[in-house]
Amino acid sequence: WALYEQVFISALDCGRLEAADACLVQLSRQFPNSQRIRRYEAMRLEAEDNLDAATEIYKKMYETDKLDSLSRKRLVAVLKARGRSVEAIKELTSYLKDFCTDFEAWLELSELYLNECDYKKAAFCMEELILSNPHHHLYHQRYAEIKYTEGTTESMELAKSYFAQAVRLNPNNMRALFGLLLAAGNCASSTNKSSTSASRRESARLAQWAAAQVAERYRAAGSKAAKFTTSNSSNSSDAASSDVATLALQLSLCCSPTAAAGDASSPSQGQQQPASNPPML
Amino acid sequence: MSQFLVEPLAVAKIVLHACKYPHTAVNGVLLAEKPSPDSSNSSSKPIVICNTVPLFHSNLNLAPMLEAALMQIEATYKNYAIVGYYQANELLNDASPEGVGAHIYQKIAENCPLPRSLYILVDNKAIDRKCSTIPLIYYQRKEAGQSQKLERLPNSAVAIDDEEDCLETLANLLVRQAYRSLVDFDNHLDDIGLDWTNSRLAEQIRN
Repeated sequence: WALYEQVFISALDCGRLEAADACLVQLSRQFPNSQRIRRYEAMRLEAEDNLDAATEIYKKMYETDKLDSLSRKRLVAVLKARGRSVEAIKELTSYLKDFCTDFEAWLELSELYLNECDYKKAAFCMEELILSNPHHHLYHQRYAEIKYTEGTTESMELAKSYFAQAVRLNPNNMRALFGLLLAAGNCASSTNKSSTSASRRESARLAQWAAAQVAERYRAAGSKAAKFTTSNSSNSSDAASSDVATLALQLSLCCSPTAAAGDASSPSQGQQQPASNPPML
Repeated sequence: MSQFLVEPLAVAKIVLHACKYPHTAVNGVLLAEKPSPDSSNSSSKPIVICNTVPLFHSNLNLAPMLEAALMQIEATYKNYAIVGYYQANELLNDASPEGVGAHIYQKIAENCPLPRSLYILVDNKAIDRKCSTIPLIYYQRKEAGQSQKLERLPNSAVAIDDEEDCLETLANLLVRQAYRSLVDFDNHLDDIGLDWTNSRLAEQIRN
């Protein structure tokens, strides 16, 4: 019967309403008067764009059972489908006051806030997720991206730290490596009074390390592609990967000309230590 | 005389990208050949949009990956310029070009080396397997005034090169589910072995 449920939901996703109806009929026969089946009926109504009727069913289900989290979440989905993001956010926030450990809901709320360009609140949602699961590199990386997008000097510093943490948790996370390269580059060339030359040099070293990591990954990917493809395309993929490798190194070197010029010994040191961990911040 | 001429490859990549991720918003940039320095800067000739780069299908609002992508695009396509932006919204009924997409487009328009830039919005409702019409809506920023709002362009302002052939190709591609082999920048970041320039798909489309 679990299979019937999965086929029903997949059929709704693909727009195959006849198949969905067939599954729903079987499920309702097997489980009469079931709340779960009622929810599926409401989802069926959502699929045909009859959002008012679906909303009615979800509201009734919530009134009869205050602990019904799934129908509340479907209500948020209906509001989102109608384009009413502000109401969806309000509904989801009140849901999270009752069910504060629902991580999917926090992630969804973060996305809703991002669509409204409310970066501070989106970052708050990611902070809740990081607190719940501090070893998940994707949460750190997403938090860092939000901080980077905010654009202030303090948030850029934070972005740099969180990208570095994401890289430490998963050295193969390309988004975190690119993010670290860009954020450290921005910190290194920051003209803000609060950044000292020592911290700018540190950021420059970090950017160069990140660039070297990116370059190494692209070279590895380029040579792997070369083994499995014909000679024509292997040339182009090699060229593409070496293009990115040189671009990454150029980016890191031009991000802080003063730091690079003043501290000529540091680039060579960075390259002699191909450590898998980033330098300690 | 139309202001822009969009080649079938560009149209195909935009629609395939939207079809690959029907449950989420997608975006990308439009490319045109850079004018050679000795050619006369005639703003009367239509700008030919010959290719697109599909960018993201998640977190379109976040800056760092967008910056990384734009840098790679500029480094890879040295003879081309980024002249526009396209987006397909998440909701079926949402045909609004405003939001983060508009901000990105404004930045692209400010830095565009050609006299005009284009914002293409995919008309989600118009996508169907029969491909009877090109499912795209065109916008451009108003030059005058500080508001920099987007104004909708009439379909006559943007011509599609060999429209009937383009529609037929598009229908074939959708039936063959060619969008499965489309690689956007998000896919590339998940696996850097994947080719975000989609050169193989481009060959298929041209043939």
